[in-house]
Amino acid sequence: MLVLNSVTKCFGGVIAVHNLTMHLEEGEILGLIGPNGSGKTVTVNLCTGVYPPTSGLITLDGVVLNKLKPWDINRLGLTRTFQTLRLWGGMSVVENVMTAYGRFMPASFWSTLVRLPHARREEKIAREAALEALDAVGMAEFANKLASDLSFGQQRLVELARALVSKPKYVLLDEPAAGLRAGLIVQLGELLQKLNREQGIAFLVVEHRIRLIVNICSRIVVLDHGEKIAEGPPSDVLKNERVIIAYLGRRRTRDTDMEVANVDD
Amino acid sequence: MAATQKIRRRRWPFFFLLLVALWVLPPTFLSSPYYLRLVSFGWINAIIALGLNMAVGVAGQINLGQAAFVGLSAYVTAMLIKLVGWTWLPSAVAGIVGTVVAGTAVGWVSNRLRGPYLAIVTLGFNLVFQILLLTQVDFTGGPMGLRVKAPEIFGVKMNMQAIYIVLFGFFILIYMLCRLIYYSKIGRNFRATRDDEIVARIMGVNTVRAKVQACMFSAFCAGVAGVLFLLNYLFIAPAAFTPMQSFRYLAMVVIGGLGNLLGSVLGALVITFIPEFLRVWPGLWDVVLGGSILLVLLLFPKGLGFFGEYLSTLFSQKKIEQRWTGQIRSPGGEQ
Repeated sequence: MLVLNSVTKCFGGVIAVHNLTMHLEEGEILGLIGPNGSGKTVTVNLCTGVYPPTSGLITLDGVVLNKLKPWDINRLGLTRTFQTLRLWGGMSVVENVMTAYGRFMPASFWSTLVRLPHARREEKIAREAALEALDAVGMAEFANKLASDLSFGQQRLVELARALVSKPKYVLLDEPAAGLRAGLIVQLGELLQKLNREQGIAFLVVEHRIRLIVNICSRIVVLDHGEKIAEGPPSDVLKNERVIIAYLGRRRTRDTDMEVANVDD
Repeated sequence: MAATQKIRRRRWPFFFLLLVALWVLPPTFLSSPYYLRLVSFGWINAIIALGLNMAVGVAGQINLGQAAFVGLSAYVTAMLIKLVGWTWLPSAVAGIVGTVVAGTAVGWVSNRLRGPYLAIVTLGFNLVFQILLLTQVDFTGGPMGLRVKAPEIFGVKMNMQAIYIVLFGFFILIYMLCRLIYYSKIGRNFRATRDDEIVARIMGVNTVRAKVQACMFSAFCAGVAGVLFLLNYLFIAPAAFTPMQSFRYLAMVVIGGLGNLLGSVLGALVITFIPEFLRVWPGLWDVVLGGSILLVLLLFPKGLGFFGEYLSTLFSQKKIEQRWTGQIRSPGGEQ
């Protein structure tokens, strides 16, 4: 279980995440939503070790992640995708995916360099695992293409394959549907549910598309200005007044018109 | 696929013949020591450019002080021979080890500074090194440099031909090492670090280790080249290891194409030989260097390596396009 215990992250004077307590259970699909700038991506970055939290505790299956290096966190079985496309453009698709398989490649520098039998075997297994992961997202035929030559949607799928190849227990998806057309979004939702069902991978889905979230998530956490304002099953959360205010603003009535006017001043 | 392999196997002897020809023909037919030394110098520069390319082009760690690493190795070796009285072999080993240690320091710095800051630090290292060479006359001979005697094998002095054979052997060795690194987990980690370091870290690449490894290997190549430089000329002077020379090494890598191994070799040969043809017009060299870099970058943004790739298709049936895209092959499969 990935647990954030009253985590705060400040950048200078800006409080990006304030006193956030939430958890991602094993084998669940959790939605994390909130307006722009509400601290969703910062939360994901904190969990994957991009920067340490200012205060609070992040644990993964009982291991404290606060001071771990990102590659050590990866080895514990936590990985992610990115909001913007961030494949390694100068490498082929299969190399991109193979690089993320490093968790299972313990061969030393020298045995890799001189290609000792166990290093060769390891390389072969990594290639097979990479092709398998690419096949799972339907990208196996592009394995030998340069990653930067792929289209936007294709790169998204390769990113997913890169995240899944290391057989993680927890995957944090930072806006996986951004820039995908409607049909693909439905497919993506089905793919995530299938992976969740068959391999027991827990997903944290950061999204703006409420329909995707409602379809696949069993639970939702809502952030606003770095604070958790609601948590629970989708149907309850979307009726929550604070969530509606955060997303849509207040209903226009005479009373609130006055308030809004005051705030604007 | 089977057919491709068959063709590749059939063409393999031609590649082998070319290699042997490059190895044997120059010392046999180049009677003038000037030309033989020049060709040797080309291969030495190729070794340096390959090493620099592994750090700058493959792992993305800018180093503007490569000449200092070459010089460090050459000077340590020469001083051990001359001042301490060691024989060639242990001195050379000490020179290379010392350079790798200096490379580790750069790797350490590269984990704290990035991009232009790293470039400034390495450039500063080169400047300091240059000043030390010029001022510590008792050890380095100052501007006059150091002269050493040629090594002896079984009591026989190595002549220029023997030196060329050894030197080309080392070039092949370094080139193979570069390829073995490039097409392995190590090389993938380097390239991932170059393309997007933050993502690499999150995807399980120990980027701290990758950068140190890249800088160490780069320094190792420079170290080997420094020893070979001393062996080739039996004389070293500070003028050969100036920051300007570092820029020339970088120019070899850029003209060859960043991250392109064969390109570095071509770039090194071009930049070594062209100025020799331009000796008639002194001062023209720097204009030609600058102009050719601009021209290559405008016409072939990916560098001369393109021609290298084209040449290598003569030896294998792979399409150029496939080679462009960081081709897939089993480790060490095609060596």
